[in-house]
Amino acid sequence: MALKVMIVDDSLFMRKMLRDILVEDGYEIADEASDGVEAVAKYKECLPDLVTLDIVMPNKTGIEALQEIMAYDAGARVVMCSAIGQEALTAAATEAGAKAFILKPFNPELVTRVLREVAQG
Amino acid sequence: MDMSQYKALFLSESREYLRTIAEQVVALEQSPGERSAVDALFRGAHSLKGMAASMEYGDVVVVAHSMEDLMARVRDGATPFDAGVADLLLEGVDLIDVLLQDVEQERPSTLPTGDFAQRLATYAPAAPKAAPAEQAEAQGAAADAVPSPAPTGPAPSATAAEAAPPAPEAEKAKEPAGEAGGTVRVKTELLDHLINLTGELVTNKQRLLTIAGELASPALNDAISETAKLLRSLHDEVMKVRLMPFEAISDRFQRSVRSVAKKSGKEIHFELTGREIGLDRGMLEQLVDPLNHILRNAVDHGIEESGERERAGKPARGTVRLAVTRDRDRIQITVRDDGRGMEPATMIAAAIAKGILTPEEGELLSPRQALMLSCIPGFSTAKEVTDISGRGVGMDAVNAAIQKLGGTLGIESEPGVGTTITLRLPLTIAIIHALVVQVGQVKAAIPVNAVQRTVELSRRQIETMGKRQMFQLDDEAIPLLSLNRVLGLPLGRFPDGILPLFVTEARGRRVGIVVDRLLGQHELFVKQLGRPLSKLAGVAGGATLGDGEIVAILDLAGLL
Repeated sequence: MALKVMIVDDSLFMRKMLRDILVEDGYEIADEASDGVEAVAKYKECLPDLVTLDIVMPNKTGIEALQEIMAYDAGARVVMCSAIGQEALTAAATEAGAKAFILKPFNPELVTRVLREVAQG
Repeated sequence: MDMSQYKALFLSESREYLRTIAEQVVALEQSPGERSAVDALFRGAHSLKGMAASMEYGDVVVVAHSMEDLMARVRDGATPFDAGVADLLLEGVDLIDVLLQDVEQERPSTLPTGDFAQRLATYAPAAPKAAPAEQAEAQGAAADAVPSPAPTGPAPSATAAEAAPPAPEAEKAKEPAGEAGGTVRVKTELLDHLINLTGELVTNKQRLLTIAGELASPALNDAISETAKLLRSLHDEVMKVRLMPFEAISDRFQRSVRSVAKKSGKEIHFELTGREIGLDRGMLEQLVDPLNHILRNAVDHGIEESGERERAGKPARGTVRLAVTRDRDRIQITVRDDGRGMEPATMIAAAIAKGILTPEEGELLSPRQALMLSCIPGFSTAKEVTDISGRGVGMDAVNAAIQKLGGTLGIESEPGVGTTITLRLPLTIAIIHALVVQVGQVKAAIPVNAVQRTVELSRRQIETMGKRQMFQLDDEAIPLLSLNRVLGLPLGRFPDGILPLFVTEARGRRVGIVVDRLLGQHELFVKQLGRPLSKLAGVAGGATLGDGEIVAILDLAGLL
């Protein structure tokens, strides 16, 4: 059965691109969210197998959303996505429970490889 | 990965971010220190950069990156948000806007972006308020943040590192509307097709009505009246889909007021209300120039210099308010300034001096009509034409543009207190109610907003004053004009001695326009004329009547 992924990014462009990459690789898109608050709420609703989570977002940052998701579901498998320059946040995200980091702009092969690794634990 | 499929989405979303950035810059200038605006600005530039990097548009990346960096410094308190920062960010918005146009047209960009990036990276406030030590630190941070020379290749990962921690919570800052809660994006052409189809149905309904009139079948009449009701609902729904919030164009006004104020050295407080009110998207585009002109006039001619204001006991800072409201099926837009106002007597004197009015005509004008003199071509009360309000295009062009949209323009003014310009506009420009008239062998339509009333005048009521023929209406002498003569058609005969006419306002005065016959009010679906007919002055478009006959829709402001 296809794994369900939730995509979180405030940019529609980024969500669309990621969605196309993931669908092409056989994932099912559980839901999409455009800010941190929505991400937490939708996570609880659809309980996806994987989450791609942007960092710079309105209402609640990706790091804050990650903390709340992990507090709700310690087994959540969240991959952080962010543009170049946010590497400094890797430590904070890892500490909060992020399983991996993907840099934007998205490289389809890299995205699918990282997600596959995270999915397989 | 084939990125071309994302180009349209990239362009539309990037433009939304540009709009957000421009809005937030102006908002920050009005209330500096607004944390949510600072964060939204940072995010806007950050998202733009990320998208452009994905599309491999290196120039956009460079500009957006430098804007993001500058905002990171503002957010972290290293650089205060001052007018210099605002200028640079708005310059960046303009720069990216041009780059996006290049992308859209698929032409290589020739804009140099490196210099802009450099200026942002090294920007330091003119009058530093920070303590010396802090300042030095800020400068150091700025130097660190200088991106390595603009990347020439499309690989943005080669740009310098940025030290931008995530933006903390922002509450009310506006974000570009994504695909939130059950909404979809559709192409604008689809909306145009919808309104076209609805318009054609309206025309067809008129045709059915004509046929039903000939057949006198009650069953057919019932069916048509039911269809008419459904059509009206369909029309309303389609119109709603075409509505776009006023804010789609409003950021330009904030910026233009800001720039005129700066050029003329005036302090202006600009207020905008009703940005959420929906207007027909076709109309929105055509409102930009007229509103810009009215606003520029308000700042440039309406608001006094601060010294003059203080002497008059007014706050040194002038206020210009732009308000959009909706009242059932009309949109009202007012531009109100608290400037010097206009004196009707001065307007009349100027019009007489310019030979636009005779002194006798001047005496007949009401104060309201006197103010409308400013809408006559070639009339301007400003002592000198400044660079800012522009030459050539005056209130006459504004008035003509508003009339073309089926709207009206009103001016109210109190000397020393200020001026209010009110635009009243229909919700739609595609389907209008019009008075259809017969002139010679042709039929013509006049939008009802331009018609004050219709009159059937007996020849005996016509008075001749000099070369002019006039008649009395509400104790006012109204000159008569023949539409046949204006259009170069044979003059009407009127064997029964009754002249059908309608009263309209031209050049700030009422005139009676005589036609051969008044054929009644019709609901018309306006179609724009193609070239070369679209160049014809005085014709706003065409429409098909129920019997299939084509009528020209007259633009009286352009015709008379």
